Amino acid sequence: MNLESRRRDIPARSSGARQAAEKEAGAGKPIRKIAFYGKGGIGKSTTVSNLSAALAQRGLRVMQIGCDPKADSTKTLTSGQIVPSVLDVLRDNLASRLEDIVFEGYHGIFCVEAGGPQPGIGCAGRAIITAFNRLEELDAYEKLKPDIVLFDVLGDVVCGGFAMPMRYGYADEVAIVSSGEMMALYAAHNIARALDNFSSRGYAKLAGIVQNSRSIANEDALVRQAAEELKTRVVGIIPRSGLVHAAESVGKTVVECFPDSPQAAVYAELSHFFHPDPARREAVC
Amino acid sequence: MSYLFQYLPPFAADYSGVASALHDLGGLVVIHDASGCTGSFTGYDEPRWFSGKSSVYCSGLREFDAIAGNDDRLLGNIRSAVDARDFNFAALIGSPVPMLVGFDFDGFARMGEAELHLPFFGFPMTGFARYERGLSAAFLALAERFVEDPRCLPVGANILGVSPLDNFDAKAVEIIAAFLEKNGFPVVSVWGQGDEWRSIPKAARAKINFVAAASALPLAEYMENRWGIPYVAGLPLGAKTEAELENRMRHRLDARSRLPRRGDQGAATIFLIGEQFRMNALRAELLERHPLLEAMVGSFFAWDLSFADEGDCFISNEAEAIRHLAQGDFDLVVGDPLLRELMPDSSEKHFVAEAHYAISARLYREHVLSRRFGSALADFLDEIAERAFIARACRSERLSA
Repeated sequence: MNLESRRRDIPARSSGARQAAEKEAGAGKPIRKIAFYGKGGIGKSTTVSNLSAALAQRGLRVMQIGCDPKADSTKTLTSGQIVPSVLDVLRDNLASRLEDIVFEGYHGIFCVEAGGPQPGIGCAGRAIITAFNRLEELDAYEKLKPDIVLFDVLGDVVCGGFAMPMRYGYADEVAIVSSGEMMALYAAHNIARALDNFSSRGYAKLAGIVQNSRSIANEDALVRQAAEELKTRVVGIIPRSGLVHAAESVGKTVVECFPDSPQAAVYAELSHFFHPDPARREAVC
Repeated sequence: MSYLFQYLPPFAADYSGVASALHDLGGLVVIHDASGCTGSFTGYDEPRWFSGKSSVYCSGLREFDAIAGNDDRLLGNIRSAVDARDFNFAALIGSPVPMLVGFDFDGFARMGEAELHLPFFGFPMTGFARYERGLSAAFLALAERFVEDPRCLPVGANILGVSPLDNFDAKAVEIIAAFLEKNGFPVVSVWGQGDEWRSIPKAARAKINFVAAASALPLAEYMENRWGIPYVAGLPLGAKTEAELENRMRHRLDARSRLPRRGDQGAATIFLIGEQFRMNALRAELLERHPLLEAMVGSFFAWDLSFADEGDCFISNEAEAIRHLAQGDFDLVVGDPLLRELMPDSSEKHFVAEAHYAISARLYREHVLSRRFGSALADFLDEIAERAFIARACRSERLSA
């Protein structure tokens, strides 16, 4: 049978093998889920944590899930304390409860660290899958009812485990954090290409690039040009600021530590891109 | 250590459950493995493999494919098969290696469907769960995808959950169908074996669902929630269970109302180990015929507490079974012959064999379920009762001595 002769009315897919999506649909209120990727060390955790803080300040229920064996994504939301990761907890007790792996941070943000294997052994990608499965088994999204979930993912899309947050039923959109540096933009290209390759699998869509500036020459133009090449856009420009380091040195985000600073205002503005405020839109109109 | 089995073979796994549920439906079914899991299914878990046509294939997963993520090669092979023959759907079933490397079954199925224009399922099985989970997942996936909303008045019944893994043979399905027809419910569709592909979409036209094994409970509940089709669960093994089921079907009573199972506190205690619904039915018939018995049910497999009675228990592993059999003070145990190894030494003779395909596969193929229906049942019940009473008498003698 050739392909043409097979064309037929294929019954619509149900919401898929993953029940979380079904449960979410049944719960009424949609949850926005955004995954942040980008070159290692580019400032993903800093950006995501400040975004979480800004979203929480707006009264939203926010969940931040760190997807990195280092398990330090959320530490500026928990006063510099690294919370036990899902893998740490599972290692001690397979029958863990939700309260063992989800910790409330600044403004009630639900902080989760997937964690990973011991350095040098095991499989970090598989660890992320295991952590995500455990959150599902415990009905984390249904019970905590977040308005928005931010996945902070280690580096590039290196294997199936690190692609997990962009799979169907997890993130709806991917944001790439990049500076104007060549290697950061190279990583951005790789991530965008992976998303493109996965488009027929129902994976997340590319939302755009968040520019985390490093104060290099002509940086805005370089990032804008890369975005055009990737057929996407720059959704926000975060200027380089000493306040970030100052806040992190006391275990906090800029949003918490310097709430009235121009830098905090940048994160607040960016938060409206990822979770628009209807009232604000009406006011503008 | 609770996962370690010293005496029992590995039970039929989740991938076998999926492949079993899809076996007769004209789909291209691929188990994504190197061949060991496919071999377990075809060689041990699937009696139909030796007697009829089947389209269950092995993906031939190799080390490099797993490491490099050669999904294109797999899709290419599936495309070749689909181009060569007409299939109703395609399904890719997981096994331990794809699970460990994080293979995305749902994503692959979406991609396959987009490229092949054929309904495509991905079942993320792991090989670590038991067969009933695979059966349940496949039944649900078929129902969600293919069962159409009814456009006419409901009529008849669906038979749900008659997989050979729970010893249902074609004759047993015929007996259940005849029982339903006798009660005014012509069969609309059969789930688990032997039905025509085209009857599956019509399943929501049924007036009632007949659930023959606990693996089909999630399907029955889904159909009840979505289309309001009530269900009854059990097996019409003999007069007692038939009367009960007839009564419940006639009145379409609460699906979970249970068969009366307990006799008077009797002289002999029996532990029935096997598929929950089947053993519940066996208990009902046994106590009806021999009211001086007491019987408890236990199972390693699909377990629903609302169908359990006091003393019944889910058995999670071999060690738990050994402990329960040692502490249970049973006069007789009924179960798969391989379970005899788990009995305390003192009770060597106090065992009646009732094979379960998901445990001992082809070793005891003569124990087909159809031999337990109707008139043939009485002899079996009498054998159980006689052995139990003898065991009880021996024990009483030992105690008095």
